Amino acid sequence: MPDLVYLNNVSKLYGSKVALNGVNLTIPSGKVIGLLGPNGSGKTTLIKLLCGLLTPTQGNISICGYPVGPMSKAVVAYLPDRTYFPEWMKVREMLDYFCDFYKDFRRPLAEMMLANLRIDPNAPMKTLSKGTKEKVQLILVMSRYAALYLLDEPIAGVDPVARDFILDTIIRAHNPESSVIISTHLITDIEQALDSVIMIKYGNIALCGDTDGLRKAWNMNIVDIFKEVFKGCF
Amino acid sequence: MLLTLLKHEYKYIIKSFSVVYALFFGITIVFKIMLHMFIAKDGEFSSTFTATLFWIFAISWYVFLFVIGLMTITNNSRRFKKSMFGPEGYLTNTLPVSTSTNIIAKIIAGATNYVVSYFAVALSCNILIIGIDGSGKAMKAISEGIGELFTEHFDYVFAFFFCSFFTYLAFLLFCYMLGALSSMIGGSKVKSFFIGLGLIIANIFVFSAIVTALDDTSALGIMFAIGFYYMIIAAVEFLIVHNIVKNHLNLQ
Repeated sequence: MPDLVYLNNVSKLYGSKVALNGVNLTIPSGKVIGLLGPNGSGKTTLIKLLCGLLTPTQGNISICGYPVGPMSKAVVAYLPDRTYFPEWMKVREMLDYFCDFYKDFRRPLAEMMLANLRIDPNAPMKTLSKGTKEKVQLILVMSRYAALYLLDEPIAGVDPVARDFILDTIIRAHNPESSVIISTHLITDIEQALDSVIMIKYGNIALCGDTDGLRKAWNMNIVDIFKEVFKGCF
Repeated sequence: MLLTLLKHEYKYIIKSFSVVYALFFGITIVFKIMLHMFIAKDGEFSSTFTATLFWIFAISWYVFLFVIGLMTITNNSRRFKKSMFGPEGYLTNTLPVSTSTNIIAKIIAGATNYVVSYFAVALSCNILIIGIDGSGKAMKAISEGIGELFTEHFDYVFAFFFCSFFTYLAFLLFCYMLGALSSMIGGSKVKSFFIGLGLIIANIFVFSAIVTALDDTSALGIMFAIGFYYMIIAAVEFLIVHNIVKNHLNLQ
């Protein structure tokens, strides 16, 4: 399969602090990838670099052959770890917003998912609870037919029912030809959904590979591999 | 994509300003009715209550005249900061548009808002004076004066608009720049205040130096010099804001 994402010697420094250190990585299409690592390991920095919120201090990134910029942003669907809705908008207006900016936005799918959750499209954003806002945000992101989905901590701090809904939406709604990168440290909940994992330690790639291959090579499940790799990091 | 960005910026302006304009025109109409009563009764009111009400509306109208202009700038710069550097920045900065397009859309929306507010104020003044004895003659004289200015002193009119446009642009971008700097240094309002104050003082010195140096020059020359000065300032501010958004984004 052709490479969807290509990172060549990518580093990111915040002042003198190294967040990512010369990362070389290729990500193929059609995979669900877990981006794993403890807090402060560089997961969010990597995701922000891929979606264009940060610029690398050194190195190159390309997505679908485009350098990070307007062209790459058009094929990347990004779910941050917080809600970003303008408070003055209604849910329906957010659908209009996504329709206007993203050609790959599947409005009927978004409307269907909102209806399934009984979320009123005419509800103003400021009246929605935090949990509902997170669901609307996930629906908007997953309703895109993107080439790459970047999901930053999508299941952190949510109840088990919401967690199932989120994982189910991610698995069912994403474009099968695309790749999904899920950043998390809650591996147990998503292990079964993952095709590959990337483990980041102190800004470096500590381990990368297919979940089946890693399980066979290490003779243990991904959670235990994670514990082995990050022993002494916590 | 610029048009799409503008569409959503205008939606925001309509939502946030429709109440302000409605209130302003409401006050204008009530003030006009009271003004007519005041004139009809030769400056005498039937009761203290009516007189108090008249002065309340008169003062409110005058306050609105100043506030509406100020609000367009503050509202636009607050919107810029919130949508680029607040949580909304996660949405705005990942849209498939370039950083320049994003900033330009906000500048155009801000300028349009300012112009609309200017016309709202002009319309309100017209509503107030229409129907008053001699207002027709006054309006005719004003429009003839404006027409004469455009035909006989177009160079001055052009210089005035050139100077005003870039002064406004530099001020708007100055507000954007303060928001961007404040976000870059971790949202410290005290530091941003001192940076802003320092830049304003520096601007006063440079501005005074330009005017002093051009002491013997005509008003036309001074207006063009100020226009060019603020054009350069606006360009520098744009580059600083662009650089912060592109390379030093520190989302809250």
